[in-house]
Amino acid sequence: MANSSDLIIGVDAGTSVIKAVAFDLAGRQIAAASVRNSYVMGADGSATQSLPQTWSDCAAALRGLGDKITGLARRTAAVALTGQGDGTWLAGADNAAVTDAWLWLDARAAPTVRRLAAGPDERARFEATGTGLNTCQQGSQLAHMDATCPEILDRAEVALHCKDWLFLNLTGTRATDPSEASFTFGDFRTRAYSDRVIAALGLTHRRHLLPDIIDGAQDTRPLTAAAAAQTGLRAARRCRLAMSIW
Amino acid sequence: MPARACSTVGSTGVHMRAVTSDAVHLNTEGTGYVICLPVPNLVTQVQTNMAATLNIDWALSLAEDLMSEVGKAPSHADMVARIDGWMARSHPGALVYHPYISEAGERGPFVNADARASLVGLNAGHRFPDVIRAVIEGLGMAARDCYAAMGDMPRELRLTGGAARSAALRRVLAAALNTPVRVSAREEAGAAGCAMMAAVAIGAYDTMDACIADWTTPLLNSPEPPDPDLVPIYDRLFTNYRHARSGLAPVWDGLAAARHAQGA
Repeated sequence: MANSSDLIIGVDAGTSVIKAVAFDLAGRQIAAASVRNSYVMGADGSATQSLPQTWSDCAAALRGLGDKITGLARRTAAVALTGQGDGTWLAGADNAAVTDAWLWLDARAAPTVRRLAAGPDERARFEATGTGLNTCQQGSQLAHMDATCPEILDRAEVALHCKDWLFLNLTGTRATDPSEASFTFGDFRTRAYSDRVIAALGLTHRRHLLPDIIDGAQDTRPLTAAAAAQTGLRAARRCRLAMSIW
Repeated sequence: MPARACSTVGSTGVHMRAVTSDAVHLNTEGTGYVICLPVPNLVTQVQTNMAATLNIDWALSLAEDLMSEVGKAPSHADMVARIDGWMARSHPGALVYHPYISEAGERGPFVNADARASLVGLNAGHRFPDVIRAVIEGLGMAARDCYAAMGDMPRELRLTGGAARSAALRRVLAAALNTPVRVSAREEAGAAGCAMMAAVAIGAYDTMDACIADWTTPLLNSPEPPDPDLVPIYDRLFTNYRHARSGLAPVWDGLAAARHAQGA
């Protein structure tokens, strides 16, 4: 069977390490490769990470897995992604990074969280998302950027989470998944964006930054030729976007 | 459907309870997360503790620091290896410990950046093993506090993270939640989870349940049931844990104000 597609690669892009793990189709772990990732803490409470470096580290982890498994490109049936949750990864023209990502560890949005949490729409926002507001979240961070550095958002075309940024680099598709979309901007019952939640965050005028939602258990996208070259995998392989875990 | 629950107890604690979306418990404090699972209409509620085994590291470091002053300190691993022995020499439910040792306070099931750890109920007879037991039981109480904010206690707890390797901690968690505990042998749970979605998406399995039967279930160790003698002891301990944490909130405010006044 070694000459057919009999492996699935799961990529777990954590805050400090990115792992690429190969499983056979029955779930047995075959091999794993990892690359240390780094982030920068600032005196102002910031915690940031480079977008291009994170993609480069992800590609390196996949190449590292290829060094451990003979014929990995030929044997790979799918690639799946998960990553650190929350945070804000902004991409602009030509899918280039607008600024370093604000991680879930970033505390700068604290004043905005206090303001929003005291607002009249907060309970309705909580009951739709099921999720308490905090500084980790992209909704809080976008609202804080809008209040303090709107020019960053003006340059952005899409607001992504970590795994979404890697999915964009692997497939060329700007998208997020139902889990982060729902607990940040939507409703867990419908798995769709909620106008009421977005309005409660004061982000109605920034809604165009939110990407389409793709359900990774149903929908797939092919790997681009450029991503195939960087990762050592083959183009046109299907690449999965999965829920995020932190 | 029985409530399926999974806790990852490492440096921090993550407590998750899977329910259908109509069964989500929206707590009055407005805390936690609800995260959609890759199964139609199934979500997981999530509550997180800022610090879990970091509390044990703190308690062990008290002893390590002292021992290094008078001689050669043991390694951290040597100290960890003694925990089961200390648990055997101490009495359950004697002390209340709140595991809010992080300088960022606590975030589940309540959010308070000024919350701090506390040890309540000491007398002159208590020794280091009693403190270690209190800290470990505090992790069980914190887990119960989180699950209580998400509805009923789970009927089975699946445990991952570094603490899953400790028989003492598994025993405390099982009794604190009055539920059997099962440890998963899956090493890379995050990568495996998203790979399972891909396995369903490419048709290797028709349903996620079929995938779970191959990828997850065979890696679960057999359930470790709660000790029936411990369960009522931890019920009482939890009542006192909650009373103490409510009562301490103004103290946390006062300590934070004092730190601020002293420029810390």
